[in-house]
Amino acid sequence: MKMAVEPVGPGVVKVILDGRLDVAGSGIIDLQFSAIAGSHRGVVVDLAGVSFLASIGIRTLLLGAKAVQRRGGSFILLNPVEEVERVLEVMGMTDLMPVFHDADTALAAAAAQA
Amino acid sequence: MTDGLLTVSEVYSLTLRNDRAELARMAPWIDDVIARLGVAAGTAHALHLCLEEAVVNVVDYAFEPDTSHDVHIALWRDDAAMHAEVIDDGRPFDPLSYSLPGAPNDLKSAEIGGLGIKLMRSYAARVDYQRSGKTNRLVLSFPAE
Repeated sequence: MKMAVEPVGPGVVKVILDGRLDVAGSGIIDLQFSAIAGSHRGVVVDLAGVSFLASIGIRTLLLGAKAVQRRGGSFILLNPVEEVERVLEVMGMTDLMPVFHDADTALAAAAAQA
Repeated sequence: MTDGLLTVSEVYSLTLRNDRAELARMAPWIDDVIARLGVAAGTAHALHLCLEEAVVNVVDYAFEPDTSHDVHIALWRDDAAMHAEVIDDGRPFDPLSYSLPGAPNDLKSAEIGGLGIKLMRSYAARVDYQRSGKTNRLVLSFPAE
């Protein structure tokens, strides 16, 4: 599991995840991910490289989204692969974290709240 | 194959200690077994997901802290279904008796507990649980094709 962070604008960041968001993967990124979510008002999480999402990874995303929302910001998911998006839907997460399939739109939406 | 009987594959098994680090061994093993047994892509994904949730649950919650236990996992298929079995000697836990969190209404109230069991029950076509003696036996089934 790898995580890259790209500053996009004031208070806005794109987090690029790559790998399996399972127990091992979440364990690797949890600390850094929550630090990013806790310090930005616009967070776009690029999920294109995430091949597998288990409940522990949903928990990581959900805790990040809660932290961003508490400060009035916006937490957006970008480009999940089909199986990952289906997991998010089944768990009711797509009602809580908007899913975008276009990077520019996602970044604009995140910046609007920041 | 005998008329009226299911053809059952070889049973593949893996034993993990109750340690989260051991879980890294599971996904490659599942991929290897799936390649031998040949199942549909959707079932392969559901199998990975449900076994991850079931085994993490056992490793995290079934045992007293600082005690060492084995968790036994088995995979096999018949003509109709792929089956995954998880056996442990931890405290009794029937995932079917667990009341699932409802669909979350908003981020603030969304619960972070119970997600794994909800996923497992959503993705397995069938979940069977038995407690016999000191053993939990969970069998998850999925369409094979």
